[in-house]
Amino acid sequence: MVRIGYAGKRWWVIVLSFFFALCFSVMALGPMWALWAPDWVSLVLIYWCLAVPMRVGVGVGWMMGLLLDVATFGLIGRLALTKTLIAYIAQRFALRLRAFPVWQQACAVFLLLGMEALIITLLALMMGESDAGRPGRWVAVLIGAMLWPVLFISLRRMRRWARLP
Amino acid sequence: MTYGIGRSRTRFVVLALLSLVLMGLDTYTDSLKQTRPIVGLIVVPVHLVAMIPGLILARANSLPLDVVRLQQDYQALKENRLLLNSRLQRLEAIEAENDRLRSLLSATGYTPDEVLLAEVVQVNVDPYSRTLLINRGTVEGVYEGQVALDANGLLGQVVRSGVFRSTVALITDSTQAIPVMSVRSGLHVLAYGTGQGNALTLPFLEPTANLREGDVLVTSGLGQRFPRGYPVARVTRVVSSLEESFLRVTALPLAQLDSISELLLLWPAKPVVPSDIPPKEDPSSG
Repeated sequence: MVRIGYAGKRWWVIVLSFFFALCFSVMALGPMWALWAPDWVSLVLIYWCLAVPMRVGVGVGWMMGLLLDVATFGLIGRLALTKTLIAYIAQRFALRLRAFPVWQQACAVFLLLGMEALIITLLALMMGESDAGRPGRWVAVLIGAMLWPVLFISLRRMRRWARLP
Repeated sequence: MTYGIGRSRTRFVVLALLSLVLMGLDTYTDSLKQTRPIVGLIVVPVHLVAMIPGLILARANSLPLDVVRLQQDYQALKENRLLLNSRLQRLEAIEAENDRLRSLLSATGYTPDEVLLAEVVQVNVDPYSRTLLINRGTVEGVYEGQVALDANGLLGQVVRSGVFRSTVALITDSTQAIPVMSVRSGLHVLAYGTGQGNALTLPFLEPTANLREGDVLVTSGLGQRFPRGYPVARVTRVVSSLEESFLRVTALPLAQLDSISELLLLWPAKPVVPSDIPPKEDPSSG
């Protein structure tokens, strides 16, 4: 993610944004937070896949998913799979999605997050987990999509400050 | 990373398949168990930063607002400590006597277990599983299956241990079953967690089983998981009906499961011995 030789570009901003996304995912601020918190890592991943598809893509998505699996003590590979899928789709449609107004992007984000929630629910059902049909997961998808405009603007500001293409 | 959007499809397929392989490995084998703590090290800074807001909130909540309340609490704690100390003295005397008696009978002695205090970092809000996250991990020697207690009784056991934090499943979690024994009657039975509410259930007891309401259940030590003698629960309901072939028994855990902020982790001093019967008296020492 950080390449030497690109003078003047602050690639570490991407690393930092992922780091904080991981922190927010792991943070325990109370029962409500844990129940409905959106997947910050997915949101940040979608943004960077749209903004810098040449650099941030499937590989980054996979690593972030893996780190999130380890950080949340979950099944290894589960979130890695979903984030890889999200990154792939976001990268594929990056150029088109970038041209959309923010609220239409939010709809696309809603679809991507919803797809992830669906896969996780299916996996949970297959594993026989008792909380597979957790409705909080879908509320989190909605909240994630609603937060997209705010996140988009903040990360865009960071990206411009970092002089990333 | 990516060298062109065109190449990412192969990359995607490879990584997706790899993820599936990892999931399979993690579900069906133990081969990933060793890598978890190593990768977990990378994630440690994330956990550390994530703890900061929680610490700030806790600090803000604990600011003393009422000096009188503080003084009363202090007095009560002092009295409680005096009481406990006197009981402790008696306990030490009894332990010493026990050791002497056991050595007289040539039985193995009893050594106390080591404990470690842990704080609860997060309570699992999942309505179907009763687990907590604590602030101790493998750096302090925490291991999977380790027993957790509070001041009043058995709380549960460690089900997952990371480098700095571990997950403890309470005895009321639906995956937990504790081998217990009634103090009054010596009846051995299993206490199952139900995953709901605060109760344990004791299934598969014959209607003639010697169990009454109010009986205290302690760990029996069978199964080598939980050391013997720790209080677990008190029987609250024994329902015997003609249509059912088993009793329906409910027990309430003695540990304060609703208000846990700290707990003790246990290291048994020696392998647990299920039977307490000393060997036959040695004729030469008679």
